[in-house]
Amino acid sequence: MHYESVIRDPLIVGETNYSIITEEICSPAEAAPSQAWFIGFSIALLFLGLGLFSFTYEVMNGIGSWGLNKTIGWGFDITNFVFWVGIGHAGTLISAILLLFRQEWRNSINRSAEAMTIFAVMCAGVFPVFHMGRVWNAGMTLPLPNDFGPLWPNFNSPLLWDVFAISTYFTVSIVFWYTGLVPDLATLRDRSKDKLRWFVLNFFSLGWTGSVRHWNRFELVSLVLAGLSTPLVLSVHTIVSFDFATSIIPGWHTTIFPPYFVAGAIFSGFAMVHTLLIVARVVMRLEKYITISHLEQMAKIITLTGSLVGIAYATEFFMAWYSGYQYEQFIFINRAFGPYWWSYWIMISCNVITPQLFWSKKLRTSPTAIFIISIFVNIGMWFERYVIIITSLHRDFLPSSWAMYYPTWVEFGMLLGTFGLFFTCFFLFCKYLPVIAIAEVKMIFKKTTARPKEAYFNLHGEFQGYDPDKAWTMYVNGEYKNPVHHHPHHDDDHGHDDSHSVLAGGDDSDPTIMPSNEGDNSYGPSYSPDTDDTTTH
Amino acid sequence: MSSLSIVKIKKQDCVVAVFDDDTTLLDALQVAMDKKYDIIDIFTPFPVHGIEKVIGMKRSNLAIAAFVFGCVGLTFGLSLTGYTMYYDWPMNIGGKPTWPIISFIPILFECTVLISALGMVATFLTISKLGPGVQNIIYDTRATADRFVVLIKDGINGQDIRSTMTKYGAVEIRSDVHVDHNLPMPLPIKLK
Repeated sequence: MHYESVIRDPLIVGETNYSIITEEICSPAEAAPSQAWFIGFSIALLFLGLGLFSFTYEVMNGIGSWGLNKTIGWGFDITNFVFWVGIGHAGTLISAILLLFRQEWRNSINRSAEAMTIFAVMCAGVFPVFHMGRVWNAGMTLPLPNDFGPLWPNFNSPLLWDVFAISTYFTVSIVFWYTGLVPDLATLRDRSKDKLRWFVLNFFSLGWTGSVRHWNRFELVSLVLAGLSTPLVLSVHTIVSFDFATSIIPGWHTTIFPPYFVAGAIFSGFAMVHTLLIVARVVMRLEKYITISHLEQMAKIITLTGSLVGIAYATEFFMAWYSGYQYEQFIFINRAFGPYWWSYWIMISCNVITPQLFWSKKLRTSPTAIFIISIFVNIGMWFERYVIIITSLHRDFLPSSWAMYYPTWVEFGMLLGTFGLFFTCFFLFCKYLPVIAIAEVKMIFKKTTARPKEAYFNLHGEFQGYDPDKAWTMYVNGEYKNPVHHHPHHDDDHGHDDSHSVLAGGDDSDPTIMPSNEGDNSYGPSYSPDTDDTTTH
Repeated sequence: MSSLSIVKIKKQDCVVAVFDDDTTLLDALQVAMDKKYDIIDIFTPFPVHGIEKVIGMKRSNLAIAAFVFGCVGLTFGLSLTGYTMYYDWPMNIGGKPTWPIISFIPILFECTVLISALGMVATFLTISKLGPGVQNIIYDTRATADRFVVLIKDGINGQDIRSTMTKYGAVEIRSDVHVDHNLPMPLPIKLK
């Protein structure tokens, strides 16, 4: 069992215990929808309706209803596709990569972040299908036996790698999210008051009982799925970047694309997580679990990945100049000063300048500032994909082919429609499912809110200096006890080694950073049958 | 159902000891293990760290299953690409080799990960007898919320079990019957 340094911010603030955690996270999922929810859900449905209309119009009238032409064969369709896939990556990073790095602050945000991933990938997947025009032939992308020879897809093509990558990513993300959801659905099931609700929740919670045998396997499954998802998330956006990098078009054909796209994906994804959670934590009154510290850690990741994206831009410029390749050089001059200069400068200001603002502690701990900056980051990352695709296509090798791209209402409708789909799904998720991973938060509860932290932090999680009177108490039997009283000896029973507690029965029986009192091991068993009367509860 | 029953059902009288804190739970379990009580099962709302060591549970083999499924996935990917691009309909695409495994790495990787993940989770659910529609017996509905429930086999030393668990912090002691459906395969309906 690892210990946590006392100077780390507590991850759960306020007076809580396991019952309160369960109650506070489950009750929004059981309550009737509030008026605010209905209003938001209706707006999302409206946008979704607009999207459905646009998609139907496009299928019935063909791709000609878009603004694409022979020069610019990819416009809003692929821009939106890469945008949504990028957003999805943050969820998997939080769920998988932060689990592998043992970052416990992920436990209260991973459920909603992973849900965001699933919805984002759904929105992304819509575009490759609909940009085919003849969407009824979408099955031909899969290597299924058919009557045309059989005609197989070209496995050398990055477009097909995309199909495999996005499908795998979607499936594995759903599996990972759902596996983690099973114990929480069981919690909801055991709180349910009527038979139908019990039956439905039991069905979806797969009969989960909470047996330690199952938890043992569950933890291993989570770890292995995280280990599988990590290379998956890195490979998926790499493969998406291959859609561009494997071409010969200047501005696209560069090996910086895979790491650049992955960093950009994490950047935009975390910004979207911020946008969603800053609102959700206030509306659903979850500030105790999704603390300012959580928002701050995510802001730091945004600064890191935003800086990586800035470095990637600089690398592109440098390579264009250093290579002496006139076409590449022209692309970058055209991006900054050509007809689409406005999109380029929006991109630069939103992606390079705004993440640097989080160096200021004041800005990265203020939810309002974070929210505004996250909106700018999302806008900037959308424009980045727009700039990459449109400016490289509209002026490539042959000047007589140069053209302009004017998106039509159908394309705008589709973009807004996917936002509608995303928010519809997210509203449904927030209403009917536990937004925070209940079991995982309980798992870190003791370690990250042990009373000793309250020697440094007040109940709002604000650092306030060391108060020695508040140190050394322990949360035991539903109340806080001072371990000075406790005595680890159970002298009539087992002759177990009394210099170690059962808690330290793991391989690392590490001492806490606090000196022990009178030679007692402070984190040892607190229950003493001979001295204290602790049977009352 | 018919008179032919393939189900073996084992019923045991048990003591249900309910705790409200994981620290006391681990303490009590250590005592129970030292006194050699037959602990049938323990239900907790979250995975309690250190519990495997106390009750002597070995690490699960599911990681090996994941590896095997990964090998299956890789084989599937190689077979798919090999059959379609090399055997069935080889094509001359720019003079490049007909079965360029390097070029197919994204496909092979995705197949590996997909089959590994799906296979491992399916194995986990199968061996844990969990699945859609499975109705397991819940001995305490608060076991998924804020209580830690221990099932100990009742017997001659029943009074000793009850008094020890109470001494070591149990907030509730009950008697119950533990029913184990030893089905050959987990089925979505309960056979009697």
